[in-house]
Amino acid sequence: MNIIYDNNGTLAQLIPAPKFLETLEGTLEEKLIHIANKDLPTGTAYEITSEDLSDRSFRNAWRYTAGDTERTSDDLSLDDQLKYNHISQEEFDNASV
Amino acid sequence: MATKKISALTELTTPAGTEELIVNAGGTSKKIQIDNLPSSLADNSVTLAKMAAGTDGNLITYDASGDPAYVTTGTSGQVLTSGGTGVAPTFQAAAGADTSLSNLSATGENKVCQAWVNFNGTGTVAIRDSHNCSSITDHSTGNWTVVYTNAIGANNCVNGYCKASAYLCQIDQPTTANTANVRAIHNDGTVMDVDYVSIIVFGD
Repeated sequence: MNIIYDNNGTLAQLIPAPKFLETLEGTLEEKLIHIANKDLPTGTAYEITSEDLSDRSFRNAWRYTAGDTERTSDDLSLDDQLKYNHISQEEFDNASV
Repeated sequence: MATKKISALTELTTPAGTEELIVNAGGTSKKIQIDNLPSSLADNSVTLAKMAAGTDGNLITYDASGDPAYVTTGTSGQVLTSGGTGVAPTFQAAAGADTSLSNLSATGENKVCQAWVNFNGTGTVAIRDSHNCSSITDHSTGNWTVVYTNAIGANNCVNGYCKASAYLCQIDQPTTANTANVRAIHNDGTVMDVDYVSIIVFGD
């Protein structure tokens, strides 16, 4: 399964790295939600899909249309932001006070 | 020689050097002056059997006063660790060889590859293998973003390779701490999908 979202009018598909997935806990869907929160800008509307997107005909014309299972990416927790080097230890400490 | 009962002998507590000891040498009484007694043990003359018994596993060392002392037995797997000058060694847990990137010194980190990924950029876009890469995003034909698992110093160095020599792997500049934007450009100037794209990243 991949994550699809709109990127300036074109459909973008986010493909998770298998090795990174192995480091996460939970169901595949929970892992993909974590990746969306980590790798997409906060507030990005997206869907998790298992649709076959291997036919790349007219790839630049693909558009993202919101479906029933659309989600919105959240901020990572402070612990995860520190874990992924998104914030420094000092920023983490200040935010934790 | 006059005889005298042992019980009647006077105890000699501080023998003078000229006083004599009487010894029995094979049934013959002989005398030797205190000054002529051997003053030290001969080299290599103390056997293990002559040493005082101790605790198994203890080692002999010297304390801060220069006197013999024991290094107490550690626990299984511990190694003898020097305490430096003037301090007796002790048994301590062995330091493990930590080779993860996060524990390399800052000087060492920038000498090793911080992230790499090899992916198929056409058909079913997929990552074949990677290190410190959480995902790639397929934006359009021949246009992808690699996202690092752990952020790298923003002024990093990214290099990319495409399968065919007719393609240039273009990396957007300036580089960022979290991502690298990659395009495969044919030598005729068009952006094209390619099935083998490899990216390596060095930085702090």
